[in-house]
Amino acid sequence: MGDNPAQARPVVGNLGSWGLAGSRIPVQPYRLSAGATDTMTVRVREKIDIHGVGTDVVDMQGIFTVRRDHPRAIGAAATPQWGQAVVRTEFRSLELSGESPVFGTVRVHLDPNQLSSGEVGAADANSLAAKCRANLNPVVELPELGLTLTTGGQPVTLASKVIQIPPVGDVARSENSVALKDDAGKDLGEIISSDVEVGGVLASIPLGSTGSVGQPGPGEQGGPPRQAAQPGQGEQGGAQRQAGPQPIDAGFFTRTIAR
Amino acid sequence: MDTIDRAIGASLSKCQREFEGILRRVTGEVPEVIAFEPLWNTWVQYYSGPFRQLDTNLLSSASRTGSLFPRYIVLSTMHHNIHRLMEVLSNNIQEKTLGDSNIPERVTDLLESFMRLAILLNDLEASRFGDGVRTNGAA
Repeated sequence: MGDNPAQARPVVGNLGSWGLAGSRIPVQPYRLSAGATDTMTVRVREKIDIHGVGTDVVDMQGIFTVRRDHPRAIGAAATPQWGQAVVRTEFRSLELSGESPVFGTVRVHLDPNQLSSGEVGAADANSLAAKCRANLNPVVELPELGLTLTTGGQPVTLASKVIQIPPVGDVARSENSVALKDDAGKDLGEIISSDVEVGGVLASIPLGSTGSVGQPGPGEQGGPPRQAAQPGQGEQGGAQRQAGPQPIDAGFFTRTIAR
Repeated sequence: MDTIDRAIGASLSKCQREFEGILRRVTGEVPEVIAFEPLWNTWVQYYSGPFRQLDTNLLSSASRTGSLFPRYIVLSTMHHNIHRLMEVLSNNIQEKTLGDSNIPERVTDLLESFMRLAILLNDLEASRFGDGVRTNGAA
């Protein structure tokens, strides 16, 4: 394992995103919000083993963009309520970069050949936090080693418990390890663990009338929210929706976003 | 101070007291001697008991006012993050000790999170009684 000081920094949550330092985009606890496409900062600590090279804990920083659907009610609820709703998500991009004394530069992005998706679901019986799960299919680039590795369609499953959507300050942790394969499908290494510290919201574009993707699943009701509701009781009609969709140019997701 | 504020205050005091008991299980010990299962059982009792009550009161306050004191959001988020961490450690360690994890970084995360949570609980409890203590960086 390397001795990079950044690797010693524990993953405990993003302090600046917990309401202490303010956020350009307000997010309220225990309150569902209308669907949107969010771009957020993220820190990921990944334990990677490359056979014959070594194992290292790599600290990476970056951004990701996720499209989250409008909330749908589950169970007996007629309208989506916090803890009794499902919000489906689809990851559109992930760009991470870090340095490892063992591997050199490490870059991670999403595998364009695999769907990376997830959902925020119901709360456990003993908790008010909604269960959040995501199946990510990363590509790990190790340019100094001349390697570009995928997980061969086997996703890294991340889970967390959230009280806010988007999940600012949340820590998601992997529950599985996955093999890293080359183009020929040969196992060359492994992602042993992933610990994800979600940061603040850089941009949030409401879905508006673009609506939901697909049909409601079994036991789900819902669609685009039509009215504001109180925290814990329904959906948010907050500042983002009142402001309406903001115009974006064609290069929005490809240009550098000032931090 | 209204009913909800009093309820938050009472449940916060209980959390602070109960969490001290959890913290004592790990303070001054090396991970190799901290059995995970008793720690997990104690945590689950705390998380689904005193903390659940506090979280419920916070939700009631947020529902009524439309907002929540940011440090309470931090408090709630820290608890849920720790619970998730305990879940993955439970699958990883089961009946062994914290020192047996093959992902020791997560054990470091847990001990650091416990310390930060204790500081925040103590700080919030102290500030209820007007001593003006503020340690934003500690959270």
